[in-house]
Amino acid sequence: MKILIENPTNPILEGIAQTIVNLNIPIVIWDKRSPLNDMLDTYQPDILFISNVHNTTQTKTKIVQLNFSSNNLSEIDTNLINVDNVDKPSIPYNFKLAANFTYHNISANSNYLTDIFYYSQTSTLTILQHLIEIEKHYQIKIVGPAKLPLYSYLGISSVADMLTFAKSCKIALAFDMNTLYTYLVNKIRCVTICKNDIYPYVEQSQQLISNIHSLLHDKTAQEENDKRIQQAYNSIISDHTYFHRLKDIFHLLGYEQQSQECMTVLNKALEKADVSND
Amino acid sequence: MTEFNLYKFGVMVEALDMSQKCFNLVKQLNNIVDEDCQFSPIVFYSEYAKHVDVNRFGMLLDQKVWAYDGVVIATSLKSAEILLNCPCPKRKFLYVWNLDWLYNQYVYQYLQHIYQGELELIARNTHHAKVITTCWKKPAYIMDNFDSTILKQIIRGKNNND
Repeated sequence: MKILIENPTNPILEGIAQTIVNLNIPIVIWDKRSPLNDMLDTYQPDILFISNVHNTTQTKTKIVQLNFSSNNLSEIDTNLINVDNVDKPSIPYNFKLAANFTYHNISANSNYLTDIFYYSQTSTLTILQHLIEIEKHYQIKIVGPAKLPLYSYLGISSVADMLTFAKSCKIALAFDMNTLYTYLVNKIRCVTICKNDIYPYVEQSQQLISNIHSLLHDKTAQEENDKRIQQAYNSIISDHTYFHRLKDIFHLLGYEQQSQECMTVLNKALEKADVSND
Repeated sequence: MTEFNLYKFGVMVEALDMSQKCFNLVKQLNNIVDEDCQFSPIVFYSEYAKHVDVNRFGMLLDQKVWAYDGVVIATSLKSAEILLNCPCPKRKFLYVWNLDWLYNQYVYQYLQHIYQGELELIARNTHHAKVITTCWKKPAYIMDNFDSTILKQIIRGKNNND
């Protein structure tokens, strides 16, 4: 089986790409420099993963068109896949949120030490206001694709770097659900402003700073946070990783062997992660 | 009779042009040369440019840093990148003239290699020093506009407090 995937410019496409690499399936990234049809003629993939804006291609390749959506853990619908018309090769896959479990081997690094870490995916005024307040009180380091007008914004980084940072810092800030899932699956202590079913909703910067303060200094708050992380980790690991999502997609497309392989690789990765945690 | 020590040092710039940085550099290096013959500065440049003043020190193309065995101070990311690849300089510094990461978007690994690598950092003032310490590592010296007194201390290898 050969897979072609659009250049992973967002963490969801990156999660899918990394998981496919973990499954040892040949994968080629389409960097958008040449037309998609030329890539399909040259590489002739069996499956094409593509975001819906590029899906204008008529081809015999099975196209998985990803419609991204984010959800809370409790709201995730198990019936994810909708096939509108079986004659059409294109499958709109309502891609519910999942966690990237392919970086579990990453460990902390002394060059990345900081009190607070934030991975900036989008720069909105609300996020900026929160960060300005945090920057006044704590040492914070920010990396990510969205440039922020702050001293502590240090450039673009890979997801691997982001997790090294997150594992080296005392608290990671997760201002979107995808990042939150990635932190939870790696058992990283974090504070969030997202509406979710794991942490209470935070709206004001003052409240966020008070949460950070208690997480840094209060043992009870730390223990409570760790319990929440463990609960969320169990829930994600049982149903909501990119391995689970790819298992469903491969099953739908008729690749049963690859579908089963997803769970085998995930279980092996879990065993390894448990050993390294011990 | 006291022993005569010659302190060789170089400063790397992209071009010795009419910028504030180069104005201060030329002024302070001329001062050092006029005051103290123990110091032998060289400016290493990538591109030739019209100077802001007559310089009384040597100038060489930045390719020559590779085999230069004195103390070398880079003043920009580009020159720091070259300096990192040079095996001969006795001590290597980066004078953080601009907080470059504020103006352009760089890849984090690239900045980390420069700011947290083997180069010792020099900040321009205490405010810059605080930001650099928070983001990267503690600067070894604080030197305002190539201040000749501090510059001599750096070349002699003395601490700020000595």
